[in-house]
Amino acid sequence: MTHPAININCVSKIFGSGRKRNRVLHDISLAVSRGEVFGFLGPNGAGKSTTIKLLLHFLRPDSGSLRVLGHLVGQEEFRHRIGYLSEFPFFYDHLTARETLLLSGRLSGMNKASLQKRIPLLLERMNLSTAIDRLVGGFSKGMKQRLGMANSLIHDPELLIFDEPMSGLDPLGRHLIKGLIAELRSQGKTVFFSSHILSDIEDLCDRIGIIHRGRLLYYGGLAEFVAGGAHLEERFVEVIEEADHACPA
Amino acid sequence: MPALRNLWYLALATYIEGIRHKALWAIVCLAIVLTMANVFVAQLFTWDLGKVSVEFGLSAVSLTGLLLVFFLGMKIMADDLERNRISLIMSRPVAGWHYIVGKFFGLGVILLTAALILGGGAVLSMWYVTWQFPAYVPPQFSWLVYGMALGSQWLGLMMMLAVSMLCFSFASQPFVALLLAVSTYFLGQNMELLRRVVVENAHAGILIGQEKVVVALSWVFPNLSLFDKKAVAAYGLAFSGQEFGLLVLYCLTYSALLLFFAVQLFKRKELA
Amino acid sequence: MSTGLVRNIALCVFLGSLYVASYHTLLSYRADHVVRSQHSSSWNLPPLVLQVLAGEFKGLVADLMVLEAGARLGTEVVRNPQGGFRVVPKQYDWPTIHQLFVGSQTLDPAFAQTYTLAQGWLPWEPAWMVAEAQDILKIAARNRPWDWRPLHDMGFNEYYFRNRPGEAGKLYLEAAKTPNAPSFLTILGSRLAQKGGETESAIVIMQSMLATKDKEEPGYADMVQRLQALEGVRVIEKAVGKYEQAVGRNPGSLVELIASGLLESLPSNPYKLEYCMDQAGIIYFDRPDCRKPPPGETGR
Repeated sequence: MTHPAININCVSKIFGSGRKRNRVLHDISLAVSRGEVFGFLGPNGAGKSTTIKLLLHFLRPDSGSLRVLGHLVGQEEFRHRIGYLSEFPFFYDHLTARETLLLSGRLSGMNKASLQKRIPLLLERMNLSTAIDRLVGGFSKGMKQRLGMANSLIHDPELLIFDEPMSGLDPLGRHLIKGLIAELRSQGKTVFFSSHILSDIEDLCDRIGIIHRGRLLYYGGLAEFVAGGAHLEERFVEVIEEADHACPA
Repeated sequence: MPALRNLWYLALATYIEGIRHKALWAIVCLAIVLTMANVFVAQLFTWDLGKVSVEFGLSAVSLTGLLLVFFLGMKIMADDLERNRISLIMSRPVAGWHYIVGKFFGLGVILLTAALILGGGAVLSMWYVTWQFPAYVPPQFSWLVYGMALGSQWLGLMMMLAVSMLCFSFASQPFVALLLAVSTYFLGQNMELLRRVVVENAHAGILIGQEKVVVALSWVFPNLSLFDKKAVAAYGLAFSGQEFGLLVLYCLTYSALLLFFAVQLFKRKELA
Repeated sequence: MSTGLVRNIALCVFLGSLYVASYHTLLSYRADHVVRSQHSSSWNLPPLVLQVLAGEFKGLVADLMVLEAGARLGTEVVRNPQGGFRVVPKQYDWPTIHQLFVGSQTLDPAFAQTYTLAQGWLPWEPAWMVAEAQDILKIAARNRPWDWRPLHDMGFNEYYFRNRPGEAGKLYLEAAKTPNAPSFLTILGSRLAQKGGETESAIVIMQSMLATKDKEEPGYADMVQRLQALEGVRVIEKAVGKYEQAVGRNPGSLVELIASGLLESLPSNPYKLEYCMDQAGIIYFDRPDCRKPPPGETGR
């Protein structure tokens, strides 16, 4: 039996305690099949990044469980099979792009020889060939975003988890990333990415999950969500407003 | 072995990041200036020029090392956590202890590099004093003891580095971690003095009757005064290889214990 | 010029004027209300507190304290009302200077500069802090087992200031045990301990102290005078010795000694006093009536 790429089961997360207690996720459950592109969307502060951090075991759930590629998060090792791009990728400013990818690749178990071949190819794909030996501290935001993308792909993982991958990119950069995601799907990779840019979701995703104030409002096929000829943006706003009326903040 | 590989690359990345940091070179330049000033400062005195030169040189190493631990080391750790740079590492198959220990070794080698540069400068200035003013160098002065004193200095700094890593592993804010580390440093430097006062002095005020508490504290906090061999090197006093070996052992075991606790606390930390 | 530039210049001038006025006022206030503290509060800390604050930099702080003490000694240049400059001794704050020595020694008990400078200034006029100097030297001797000088200086103080040759002798013998100690210490110590041959011993003490004393330090001229006087006494004692060998008894007076022809004339006394010889044949250069000072009375 093939496990889903991602399986989130009744996960809740609370930050703080006492009077500052803040429940950021309420019993989230969803599954992402292997080989699909799943869009996780919601307004700012909805809980998208928190969900992703729970998947990576940067945070621990207060209830529920998460599985990645069949492995129970927090109990079994799976990070060599995933690639992660954070919303704001930060690197060691005094390492070059090449050294950064070398570090990531070696930590993921790749050997030096294959890395020496792969790094230039990957950076060229990301339009960073000219900056291969420049210190990352001198990179622009867009360059760092693209380096982050290269960093997530260096070890050729099965599952890619991107947190706002288009953030900070100009139209050319966005086009590059969208093309990359489409390419990854054609290679049979699973892509789970969060975004609040609906046009990207429309263009790329098979299935989506909509989260608002820590609650999963919709989870399923994109086509079903926009059935009846509605635009994604209209439906999205409708769903959010319905939720707000039902449970005012 | 994946663990050794991860430790090596994390240490290497930390070392390169630190070595290329401008703050490091500013600190080293300051210390080089101090070392050069050593020669002139020694000549302000008419007796024991050798002792002044040795102490000035070793103090420059100590001061630089402390600046590196408290500012550069803690800045690198703080940036990792605050700027979420740690996700670059922890999204890989890297265990918490790989990260902590790898960082420790990387920063430790930075400290060693700085200590060697400054130690070299201190040796040069001391050599100048022994050449120009041989009559004012203590008769038992020994280059071997001087070298061991330098080594002891570095060992003390490694203990402080381990303390800093522990503080970082549980403190909520980098500034709190810095305060805790600095306080531990002051306590550690005066631990021997405190113990002596309480055990030997009948007029120890509120500490009377608290010998057990103070002795217990001296086991919990690092006894950094043991690593201060400036006076020993300055006057050429006895400093055996056996004592040096025991200092190395104390440093290794205490640092290992602190790193162990740091790892346990780090595992429970949430990288929000 | 644009309005913005004019505004910026005006603001700069205004702020600059405010700054100059306030700083000038502050400096004038400080000049008019100079308070010279009797004791420097910065250094007047208990030894334990000093040690705690100095941490691992005790040696450096000790160096600084002794430099500070040195800076408060000696002379300074002041302006004459009628123009020009003159050199005057500094206004000595002896309690603070002593505190600086004690503080420096607390932090680094083996530092030679501390005890050397303390010995050079404290026991002498106008400080007259002999006991304090002895305490400092005692600690230095304990912490510098390779150095004979602290004990040697203690011996000198016992002899010169406290008129206790016996005690001085013991200290010189103790100093003689130090590795590489000069051989004269043994001879000196035994002579003084036996209370015999004091003049020769005293001459050696003076010579050994003068060899290491700076001409600028207080007491140098006194010691030179004392040495000259002692050398004069030695000349007379030798003549007395020859008289005793020849006649079988001490001369009744110095006049009798000169009349015997064994001494051509009395050596000049740098203190401008007459030499006196008592019935036991002891020669005094500073007691024309031959009255012996009681033990413990500080000498000149």
